[in-house]
Amino acid sequence: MYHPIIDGVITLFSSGWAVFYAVLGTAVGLIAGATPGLTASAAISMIIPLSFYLEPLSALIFVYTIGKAASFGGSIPAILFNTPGTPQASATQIEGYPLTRQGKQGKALKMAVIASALGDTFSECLLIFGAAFIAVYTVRMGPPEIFAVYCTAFVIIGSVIGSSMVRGLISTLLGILLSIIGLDPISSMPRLTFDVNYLETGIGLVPVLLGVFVVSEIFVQIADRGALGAERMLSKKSDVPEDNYVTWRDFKRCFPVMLKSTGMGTVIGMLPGVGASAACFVAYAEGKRSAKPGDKWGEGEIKGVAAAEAANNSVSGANIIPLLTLGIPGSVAAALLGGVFLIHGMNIGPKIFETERDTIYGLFASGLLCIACYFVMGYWGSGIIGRIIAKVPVRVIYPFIFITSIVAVYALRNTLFDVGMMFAFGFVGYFFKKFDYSLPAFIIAFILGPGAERALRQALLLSQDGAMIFLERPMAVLFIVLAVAVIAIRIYQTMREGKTSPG
Amino acid sequence: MLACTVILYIAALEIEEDPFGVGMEPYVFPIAICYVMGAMTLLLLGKSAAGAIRDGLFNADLQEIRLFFGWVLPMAAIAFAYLGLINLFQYLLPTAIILSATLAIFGNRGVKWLVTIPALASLFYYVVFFGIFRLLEPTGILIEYDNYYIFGAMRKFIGV
Repeated sequence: MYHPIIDGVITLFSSGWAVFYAVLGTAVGLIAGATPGLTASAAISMIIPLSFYLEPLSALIFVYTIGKAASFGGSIPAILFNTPGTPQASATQIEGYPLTRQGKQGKALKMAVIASALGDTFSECLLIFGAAFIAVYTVRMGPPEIFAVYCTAFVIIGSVIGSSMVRGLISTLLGILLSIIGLDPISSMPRLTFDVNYLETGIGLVPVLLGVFVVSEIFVQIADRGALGAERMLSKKSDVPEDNYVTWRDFKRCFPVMLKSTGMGTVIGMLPGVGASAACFVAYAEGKRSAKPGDKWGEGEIKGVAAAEAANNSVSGANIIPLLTLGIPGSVAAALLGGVFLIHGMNIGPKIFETERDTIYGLFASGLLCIACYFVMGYWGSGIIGRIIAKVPVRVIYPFIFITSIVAVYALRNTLFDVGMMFAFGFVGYFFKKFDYSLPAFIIAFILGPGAERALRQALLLSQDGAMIFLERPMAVLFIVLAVAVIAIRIYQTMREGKTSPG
Repeated sequence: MLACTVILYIAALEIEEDPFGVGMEPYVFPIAICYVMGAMTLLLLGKSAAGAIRDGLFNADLQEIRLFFGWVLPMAAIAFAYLGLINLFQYLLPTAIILSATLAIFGNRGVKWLVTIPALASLFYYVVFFGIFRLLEPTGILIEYDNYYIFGAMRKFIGV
């Protein structure tokens, strides 16, 4: 039976540049993920200005593969240096670093790449064969349903991520407010521009991204100077050959855990805003809970590495499903990918499977190519990447990242105003991190805010009963009830944990 | 955050009505968001005040405050000074100076890290972004030069 993915593979391989950017993105993502302090989001934020100059498919592939490869790349320093390169590698370090101390870093790294590739392949296949199927139903949604979906997404993203529901929701609301700065799309009246001409075109996405992800991290790192010069020492490898690779016995032991973790990660990945960090800990906790006699959880258990990596990588494909079917990104990386779609004039949502079919399936095919590439690079090259990371101190990396981000944001509109905006949002990001507000909620709301307002205004224009239209559409009611249920559950959970009130 | 909400609310009140508009007015959505955000920030303020009274009002983390004023603000000052310097001297010289300052503030020392590498790196960035990628260089007030002829000859030489 003919499936559009075949067209996607042909589209990918018929363009040399697309393949080039898939491989380059994999390499960049691996290195970005493996560099502690340089997250995939920061790397993608710096790449987005370059994507203006690329063809749409190449730009999308570049950004997508960076996010995918970085999910695995973060496990390299987590295992070798007890420092996760990305937040989603935090669970990997629990079992990975003890294995390194036993001289089994080779086994741990190779198991990490096998589990990552397995999890990622499963979720990529679900994306390829499932997304279009879901889109057939979601394309029938009108503005009231779309607005209800946006509201549910804002509530879930704001209330689930982070420790404080109130701070998460405030972050979401601030993101929405800042997103509508500029000219009103219908009346062209200036809104919240403070009489600044540059703000009439709105606050650019790239200055915000670079500010909150890159500049704010530089501020955080400069405040944390104690760790900047710390040398990362590589542990000595074991002399036992079996400790340097994954044996068939190891694979058989870990396979059931990998499958279970992949399933959990895929489901969690499809929920907007929850992300890979939650998935890896959920999978790790489940793996530990179902420990068998002889397992050494907490002392270097290879199944722990497999569980965490399978889960965090299975999120990356699943995250894209709500992005393409509903227009709601499942994570910050998916939100950034959505930003690239918008930059190249493609509206994300279920209709994209009709209007940009070849591009979408070319993107999916590039995901499979990326998995193959990072498997090869990771299986044989993780040790080399680790040695390189050990030699370059963080105190040298950050100044160059700072200068690069300035040029990257200036390159967009050739205006220093954007550079100033980036620094201002660097402060915003710094204070968000220090006071436990939610940056992912802020960014996702910033990207989705204009779409939500547009859907609301369209719904009210359609309606003859004002806001009652949201209660007349069953799907809209369903999503509104879901949003209320999420808030109620979160409040109940917080009260049960003994806090006086949520926040 | 409450101050932010108030400022944005005042700005939202100044949004004009659309005389020819149908449906929702342009100010309704931002004002509604401001109301919800204001309510949430007041809730958070109340919780924080209750916590501060319970745990001690002056139990602030002085180390964090010292780090902020000692390191973060100077880094922010460097960042904004960079903008000012570019407006005066264009891109090349300010980048070398600021890169050197940033390397210093991050703890790097020595002629290699504070002079040689910033100079070479700035030149590299200048050639790549303004020469090869042809970004438009901001003009300086005190020093102004046109790189067109230098980079034109270079681009012709390398075939770009």
